[in-house]
Parts: sequence; structure tokens; C-alpha cells
Amino acid sequence: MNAPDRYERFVVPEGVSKYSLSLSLSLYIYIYTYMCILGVVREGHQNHQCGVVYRRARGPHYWQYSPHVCDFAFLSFEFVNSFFDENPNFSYIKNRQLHRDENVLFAGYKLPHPLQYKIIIRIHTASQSSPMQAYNQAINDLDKELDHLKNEFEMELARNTGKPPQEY
Amino acid sequence: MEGVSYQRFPKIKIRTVRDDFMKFELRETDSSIANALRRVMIAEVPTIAIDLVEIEVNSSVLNDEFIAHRLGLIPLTSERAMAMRFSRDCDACDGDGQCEYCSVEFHLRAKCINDQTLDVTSKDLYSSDHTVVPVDFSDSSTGFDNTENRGIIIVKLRRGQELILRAIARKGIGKDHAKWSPAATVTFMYEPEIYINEELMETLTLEEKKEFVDSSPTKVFDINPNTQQVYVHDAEAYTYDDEVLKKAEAMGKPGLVEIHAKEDSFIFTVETTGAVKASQLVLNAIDVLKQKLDAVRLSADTVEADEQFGELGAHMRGG
Repeated sequence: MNAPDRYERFVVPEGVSKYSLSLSLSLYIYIYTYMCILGVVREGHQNHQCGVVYRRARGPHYWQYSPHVCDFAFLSFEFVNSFFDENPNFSYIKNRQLHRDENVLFAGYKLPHPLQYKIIIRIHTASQSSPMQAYNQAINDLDKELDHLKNEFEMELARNTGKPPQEY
Repeated sequence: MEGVSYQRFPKIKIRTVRDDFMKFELRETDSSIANALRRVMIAEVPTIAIDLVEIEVNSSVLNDEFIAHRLGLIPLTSERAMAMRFSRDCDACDGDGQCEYCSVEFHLRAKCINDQTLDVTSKDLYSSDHTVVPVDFSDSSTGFDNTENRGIIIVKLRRGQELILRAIARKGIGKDHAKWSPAATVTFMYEPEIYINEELMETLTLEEKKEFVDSSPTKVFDINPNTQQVYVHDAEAYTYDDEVLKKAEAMGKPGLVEIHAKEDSFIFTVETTGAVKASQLVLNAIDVLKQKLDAVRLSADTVEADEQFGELGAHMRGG
């Protein structure tokens, strides 16, 4: 059979490059959506004027905007920092209320091949900030959100244990 | 330059909690978190399951592979799994089952010596570690009354048949093989928001109201016997089947009810195999997600490279 070994989904082979990391898509969906909040342009907002590779169509070679069901082991990044300070389109995007981090112009991912556990993330930011910072910030925020979730859950659990089991 | 935080503060409300089942509400976050949590609970929270079987004697009707597969599917208590090592990462051994960090050994020895069929069950498995044993369903608080208390049947033996084997259980995740999945079911639904247009509803006769209420396959609406008003009986019974909307349309009353899925509110149902408690499963899933976040954090030298990039940017801007 030509299917890849099962363990390839979560074991990173030796000698992979710096950004090749082991993780699962579920995490990615999460990061992706977070990027949305940070200021992803969800639909076609003439982003090509900003020099961003941008397609609406869905397919392995296009940037994906919605959670995609697959697993992967590698991650590579394309970080783009643009220098259009006074681009009118940029100001348009900047003014959008939707964008919580106005410096992130674009965040998307693609899965070049369903049998290769590799995903490419592209983050595009305005000139005064760096895509790596935006990425790290998103990760940190998610981490804090999970901490908060865990605390909330433990508190709720403590409140609920000891009570007789309720009907559902 | 430190970025601005956009952290969210999700809320949780537990409705039901039992050892192997729980139901809770997750609010003020989005579907990506909810789905990440669901997927991690199903496929990435580690448990312990039998992974290697050495068969010494097998004269039963089932072949060796069949028995090995059945052994693998038996849920084992896995509170220890989060702290255990994967045998592929274990430095202390070569994964042959002699290592306390990554494996647990089981022995099974059964022979039928009389005319009555002998059931070989998970109770016949003897573990080398008292914290890792086959899940016992008889004493759980579910009220599941198993008076016979015989465990999970592995094979049945007739007179003279014998089964002797040694099995090694290891830590693993559901993504590798479903036997390691701690979850029986994990689901979430969007909380529905139902508005009844009372004005339009009052234009219906009682007969029509009844017809409307009955058009929903699940009992979402009901009629108040005193006031004869239609009210939302159980919003969560709604399965997003659109039947009532179609009915309203067919009755010539579009907009009679409006139903939306709340985008930031989820109702989770978690049911485990018994390997870990349902509440522990959720906590473990959060931990696993956090570990994943750590794995994708960019390393320090990347940030250094970024600073150079920033200098380049400044240079370009200046020039």
C-alpha cells in the first residue's frame, strides 16, 4: 500500500527544519480562528492590492479560511511584512472594526497535499509590526485563555461534586 | 514591541457530572475552541491499552490475532497515562514491557476443565500494576446494574480448550488507534435561540397552532392549555431540521418563528469508556492543547532573526 505510515501523523522524522513541529490541526484551526480575530480578512477585500496571494476558491493550493479536517506534523511559515504605509486599501482595512489587531492584514493556511502532514501558515502584517510577534501574541493569548478555561472548569467542578447526580 | 492582548475569558457551567458522563455549557468563546477541545478529547488524550500480546497457548476457537485485537479494545484505568512515557520516547527500555515508565504487563491463564462453557473475561487479566487494571463497570455510579459482574468477555472456552498469554499495555492516543481513545462520545451543539412572532402567531387558529407545534419532529414548542399560546417548551430539543420553518412557510406565515444558532455558546456532552473520568478527560484535553501550543511557539533564535528583519524593515523605510 502506498499510504503513509500511521505514526507519521504525530511523529516528526529526524532532521526536519526549524519550523517543522509536531502538532495537530485542531490546534491550527484554533490559531487560524484566532488570527481571524486578530484581523484576518475573511472574504475578498481586494487584498491583492496589498500584494497578498489571495484566492477565494477552496483547494489544496489556495489559502484556506475555514477549518479543514486533516492532521499534520510539519508546519512552515511564510511571514510577510509589507511596507505600504499609506496605501488607501490598507487604511480601509485598518479602519474596519472587525480587525482587533489592525496590524495583521492576512492570516491563512494551506494544506498542499492531504497525505503529507505539512501545513503552511501565512501571516501578513503592516509595516510597523512583525508577523512573528502577531503569531506569538496569538499563541500567548490562547495559552492564557486555556489557563482561564481550566480554572473555570475546576471551580465549577468543585461546586458540582458532592451534589447528587442530576437527571439529564 | 509587545503586542496587545486579545485574550478571551470563556465561561463554563456544568449541568451534569458523573464518573463516565458529563454535560456542560461553554460560553464566550468560538467554535474553534469548542471543536479543538472536542477533537483533542476524542483523539489526543492519552490512555493505556494493550498493545503487544505474546500467546503461549491458544486452543480456543478464535485465532491469535483476533484475541490480540479484542484484548487491545478493553479499556484500562488510565489516570496514570498523562504522567507516563510513550514507549517510543522512553530512554529506560527498548519497549519490551520490562519498564515501569512506559509499560504495564498483564498475564492471562485460563483453561476449561468441565462441560460448562468457560467465559474468559477482562477479570481474568492479572496486572503487574494495581493502578492499571481493566475498567470495572459494576461499581460505577451510573446505576448500571450488572449483578453478574463478569467483566468484558474475551473468548469462550469449551472443555479442554486453553488460553495462556502475556500482554503489554502501553500509553497511546486515539489518533494512532481507536483503542486508545478515552471517549465514547464527545459532542457539542450550538445553543439555539428561538423567537416566536407573537403577533403573527395570534392570527392562527388553535387547530393551526397544534399543527405547527406537531410539525417539529422533536418537542420544541408546546401550547399553553390556559392561554392557548404557543411557547418554547425546550429550545435544546431543536435539531436544526428546519421543519417548523418549512411548516410556517407552507402555512403562508413566513417569519412565524426565527431560529438562530448562538455562535459563542456550546453545549457539550462527554461520555468516556471508563479509562478516565469524564471531568478528568476535559482537564486532560486542556493540558494536551496547552502542550501543543508550547510546541508551536517560535523559538528564541527565530525572534532574533525577526529583529534583524525588523532592522531591515527600518532600513528600507528609512531609505
